[in-house]
Amino acid sequence: MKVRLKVVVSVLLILVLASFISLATTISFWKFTDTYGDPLIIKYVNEWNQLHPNTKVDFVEIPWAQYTTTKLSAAFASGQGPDIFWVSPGDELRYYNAGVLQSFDKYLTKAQIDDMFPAARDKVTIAGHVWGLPIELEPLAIYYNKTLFEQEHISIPQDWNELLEDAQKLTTKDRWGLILDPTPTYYELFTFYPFLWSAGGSVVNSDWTKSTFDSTAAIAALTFYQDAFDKYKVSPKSIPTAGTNDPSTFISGFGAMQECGEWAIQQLEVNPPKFKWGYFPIPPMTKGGTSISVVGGWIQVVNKNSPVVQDAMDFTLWLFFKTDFLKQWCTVQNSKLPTFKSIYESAKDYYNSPDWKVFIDQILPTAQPEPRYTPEMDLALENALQSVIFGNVSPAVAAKTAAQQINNFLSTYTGAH
Amino acid sequence: MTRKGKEIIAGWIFLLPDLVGLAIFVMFPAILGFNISLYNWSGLGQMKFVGFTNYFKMFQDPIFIRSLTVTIKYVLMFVPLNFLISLALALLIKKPSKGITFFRTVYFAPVAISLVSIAFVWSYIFQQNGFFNSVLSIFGIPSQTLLGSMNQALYIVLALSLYASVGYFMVIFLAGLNDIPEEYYDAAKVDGASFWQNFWYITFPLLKPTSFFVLIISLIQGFQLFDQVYVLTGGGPFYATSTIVYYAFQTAFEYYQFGYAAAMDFLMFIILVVLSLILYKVLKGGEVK
Repeated sequence: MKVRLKVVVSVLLILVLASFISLATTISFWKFTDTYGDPLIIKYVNEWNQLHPNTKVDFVEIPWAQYTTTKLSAAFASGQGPDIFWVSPGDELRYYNAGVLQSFDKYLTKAQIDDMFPAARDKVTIAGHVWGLPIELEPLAIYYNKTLFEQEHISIPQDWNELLEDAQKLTTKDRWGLILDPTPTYYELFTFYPFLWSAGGSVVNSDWTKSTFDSTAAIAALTFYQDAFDKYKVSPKSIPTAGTNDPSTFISGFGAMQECGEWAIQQLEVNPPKFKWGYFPIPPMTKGGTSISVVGGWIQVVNKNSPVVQDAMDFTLWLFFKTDFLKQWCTVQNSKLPTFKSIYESAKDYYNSPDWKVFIDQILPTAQPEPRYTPEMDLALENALQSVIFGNVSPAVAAKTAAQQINNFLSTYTGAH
Repeated sequence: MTRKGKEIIAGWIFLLPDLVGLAIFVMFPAILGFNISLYNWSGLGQMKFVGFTNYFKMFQDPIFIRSLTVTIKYVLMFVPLNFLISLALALLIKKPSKGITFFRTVYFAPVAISLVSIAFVWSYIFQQNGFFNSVLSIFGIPSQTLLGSMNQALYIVLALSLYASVGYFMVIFLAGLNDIPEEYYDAAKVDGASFWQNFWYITFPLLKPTSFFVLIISLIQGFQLFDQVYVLTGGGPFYATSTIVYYAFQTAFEYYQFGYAAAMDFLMFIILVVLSLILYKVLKGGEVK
């Protein structure tokens, strides 16, 4: 009897202690898995947890495919969305329109906001208010096999015709001339926008009342894609599972050129290919025209409906402004362009290296921020691209159809833009 | 209580765990899914009641019509091919002979491997400059577009599905074949029956229960095609391999229209129930008379 009583009391004590332990606040922080960058985040999360034993951050890495499809959606749908998460500019509007994002206005000083590069500030500003903190700027370029270019006596293309001609010269039965993204995803659109903008085109007017996609510029951009994939067959219609946002496709020799972001620089240095490589700005449509790249980059946001909003904000602000995280993220753990001018100034030596020269001097000055469209608009654009790549649909018909679909959607849309 | 009464209660008690599981994990989600299908909902924010609008929308959506067509085309190819190939394999390996264990293992091995892993490897084999085209070039056959072709991609998905499933149904058929008493074949042998006469008058009729099971399960599998499409083609090129289940997945998790996606899934549930009932009626539940 005495022994049984002791056991019962011990179990009760353990349960009481456990309940005290669980009183510590937990901030859930979700992000897609990134083998290069995540160790750095884990390091700072551990540092925060040591400094704040009662307000711990639980950092969860989720495989890319699940993060961008089922995981976040299912979590928010069941009312269990994370307290902090990363969102792409293309997806930001959806969360904003649903009232999920916590405003950063009262948490940031004017100096901190002014310190952001305009492209970065625009990414996180909706309706005049700031809704997240920009982590990086990710412009696109075309990476090329320098060794092959030298062997074939090819020079850097100056317009779309030269780009296609060079790609044709470099295409063999074992190698593609130019890797563009053929899969109907948001990334396909991300890589299409530079061609659309370089031709002078756009998707929608400034007040989102009418689609401007039914234009000669959009038709020209769609024609370029149809020529690359179908007419000249210099771009693969199917790609290995690695995808086109991964330079391993280029490193393996699958393609002589690949459109990719500045994140590829780090990966090309860690896994160098067996050939000399370089990159150049995405050529303008015609010689002498303006090359316009797109600038992406993820944003850290806080869930407005989180029970620990203040703690989540405290951690986010600490990570961005009280630690070396952003500089380490951009210059050591990855190869990314910074979103704050002070970070850029403090890492001037790094960005002055030859690897960065073209991005900083030629690409970034004319690059435009990744647009924020709704899933309905994305679908219309993806269908236009898919129809010209695979369906042998005339670019004019594809552009007109997409514009009609977008106009149908805009006629009932009341959200932000 | 009578003995019969006790037996009835015992029967229900044995069935209860399965019934409770079915209710919690199948029926309840199906009812919830139907409820969601009556709303417009992006997964964030408020749900807006729209009644049966999502169901009417389906038949005006060209991508849904295309996905439905692709699904039906795939099922019409998969079900009979799966049936015939697995039955043929079962007949081939039924008789014990030298090396038969090796072949049984080889045919069953794909069933034991993760379908996603197989699909991942196939995605490399059937690239335009992948292994398959390299083999074709040895025979002087021009390179094919394969997974990038609207005309070829679905057949590669079909081939993968058959590769991954015939082993399982082969084992099912094998069990059914082993249940047929040898005396029937002995009697037929005395009468001088040929292989085809044996098959047509003895084997096939007595395999009816097994055939019914194989047809029902492969019909359901055919309509539920997803993994292979997700890994190999992403529904492309240009919806050439987009099935109802895959399009519903995209609609929910890429286009954020949960209500519309739930409507598609519920419609497919109804289609499967109706087809299963028709099959049950036609084959008389697989009963052998």
